[in-house]
Amino acid sequence: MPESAAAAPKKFALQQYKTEVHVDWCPGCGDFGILSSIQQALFQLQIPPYRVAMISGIGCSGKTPHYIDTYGLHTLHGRALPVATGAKLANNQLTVVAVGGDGDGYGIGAGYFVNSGRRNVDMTYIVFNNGVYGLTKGQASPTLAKGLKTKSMPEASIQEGVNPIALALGAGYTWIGRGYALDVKTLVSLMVQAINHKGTSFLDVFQTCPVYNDLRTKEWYAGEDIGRARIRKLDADPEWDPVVKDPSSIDEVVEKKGLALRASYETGDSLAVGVFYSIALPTYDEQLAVKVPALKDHPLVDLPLYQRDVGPLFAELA
Amino acid sequence: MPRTWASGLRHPGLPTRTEQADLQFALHPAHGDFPHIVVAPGDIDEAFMDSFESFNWADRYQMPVVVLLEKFLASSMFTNDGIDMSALKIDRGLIHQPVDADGDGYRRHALTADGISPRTLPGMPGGIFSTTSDEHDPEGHITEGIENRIAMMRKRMAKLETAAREIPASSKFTLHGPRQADLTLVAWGATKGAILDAMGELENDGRTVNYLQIRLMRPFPANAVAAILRNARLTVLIENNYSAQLGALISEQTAMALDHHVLKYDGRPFSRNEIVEGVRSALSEQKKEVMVSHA
Ligand SMILES: Cc1ncc(C[n+]2csc(CCOP(=O)(O)OP(=O)(O)O)c2C)c(N)n1
Ligand code: SF4
Ligand SMILES: [Mg+2]
Repeated sequence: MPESAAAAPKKFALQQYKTEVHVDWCPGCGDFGILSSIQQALFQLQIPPYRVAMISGIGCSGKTPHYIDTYGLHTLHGRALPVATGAKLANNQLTVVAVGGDGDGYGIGAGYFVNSGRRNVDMTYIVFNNGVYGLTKGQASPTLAKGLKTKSMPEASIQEGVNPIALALGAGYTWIGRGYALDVKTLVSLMVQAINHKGTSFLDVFQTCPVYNDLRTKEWYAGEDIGRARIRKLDADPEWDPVVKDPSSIDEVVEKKGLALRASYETGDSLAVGVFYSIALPTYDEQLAVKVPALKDHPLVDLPLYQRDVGPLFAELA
Repeated sequence: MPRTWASGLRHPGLPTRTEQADLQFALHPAHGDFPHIVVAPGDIDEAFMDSFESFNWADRYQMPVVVLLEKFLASSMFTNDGIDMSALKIDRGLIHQPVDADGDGYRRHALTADGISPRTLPGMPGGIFSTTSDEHDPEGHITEGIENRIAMMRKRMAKLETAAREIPASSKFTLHGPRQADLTLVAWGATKGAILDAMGELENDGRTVNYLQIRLMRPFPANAVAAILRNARLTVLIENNYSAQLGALISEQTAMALDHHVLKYDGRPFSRNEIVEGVRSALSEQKKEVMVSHA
């Protein structure tokens, strides 16, 4: 956002994106950082609260919409994306943000996660990735790496963890990023970019769960044991350029996906955050508007419902 | 959230054949105690009307509606005399119109006597709401409070009573034939055509025959059905399934049992002859249950 725009008087105050509902996450939970970043991003973008639909699945993370004073739908476990898709198709003037946990999105909702990547509906999906099922008391989530044993697990996991960035690249997401819950400044900037992107933006966020994930702690991300931060910012490298310039060039697409894939497999002592991949492709909503021209100027929800008389059709068949 | 489902009767064994095996499933499609509507049209005219009304009901009562459509109806050719659309009206239910853009005081799940809270649509200035699949207060925020839970359960279930009151009797059931008869056939769904065809033949046996076709499965028209059954001399249930699922529903809702069951579960629809033969066999051999199949 240019300086001048940032300095202009704001119509909506930051406070208007907050509810008075008691936030019942555990003290020190990384979710607080993500919530605050979403509120700040909406505030920066000055999207009227009534134009925003926050849609969540089930989990600690699923409670997020209750704390944001916009339209909020706290749906079913794993079902944030299909509901968000429906909301956007019904009203293409809404800013739709789906949120949920890593269990919600990569476990029970994995089928929706893959297929949402194919559609490119203009919306944003933010995953709170804490490596555990927080709400149900700390079972291993799909992102927990093999060999790890968090606090409430009786034994170490013998399954591999899924790589969400790699999965998103394969599924076709047109904007892919990753943030860290405790670096709010970077996270706000990533969210602003994600929301501004035309198409489905996917933002995975490393999130600390101090209660159940005693391995991926704030100290671990800070790299206290190895003497340097584990988080590596992709844009700290001046060469890093995740944006596909010519979407029709399969060579460039594959090259950029390859770089993003490589960055996503940095693990252990170096965890990349930032924008991994970005490409401008027609959105699902735009393609629908080609088939149904009325949608260009009016959201579906505002189009009059009409009753078609099927009488002539019957007459024709008689 | 309002939703309309059309259920083709599919089951693992014969996915592209027909059966009436999913009535009890449609009545109990998910965990929890929640209101929903189940309607089972008997022919293509009813299928058209019930589908149209089900969208209205989903919006008006804000609950899921299941239209139980049978494979036999969906993939057979029928003719009809055209459909009178003049009486059909789209009803989107109660939409709250916010008085000011701040929308102060609007509560998506406000407690009301008929159970229905006016809704707003995402994007409406002043209409902001929160909602959740978890138990919630009138504002749509999570709560597990005891008094609220009781009030919300009563509110949701009241919608079912509202629907039962408002849906016309003609959409709930039809008694075909004379009000009073020696023999009353009881059935639902797409057996309708074959049963109507068989009635004349059965009357040749010297009995008057009528046929109670039940269409609205939930909310179930229990009082009306019980009154008709009490008035009946001899009852035969006809169902295209193994376990007489409408029979179970009638027993559950009226504490009444039907005298005979004629069942068919070979994955094919009833023919007129199978109905005639099944009913004759049940009555002449005094069998509680008869299975028919003209293989
Ligand atoms: C259909 C269904 N299955 C299981 C559950 C139980 N459940 C609630 S939250 C949850 C997992 C939460 O983990 P995650 O999605 O990672 O969210 P977090 O709590 O970590 O934010 C599960 C399995 C449910 N609510 N619904
Ligand atoms: S259980 Fe973990 S994820 Fe859930 S609120 Fe507590 S700290 Fe946060
Ligand atoms: Mg989780």
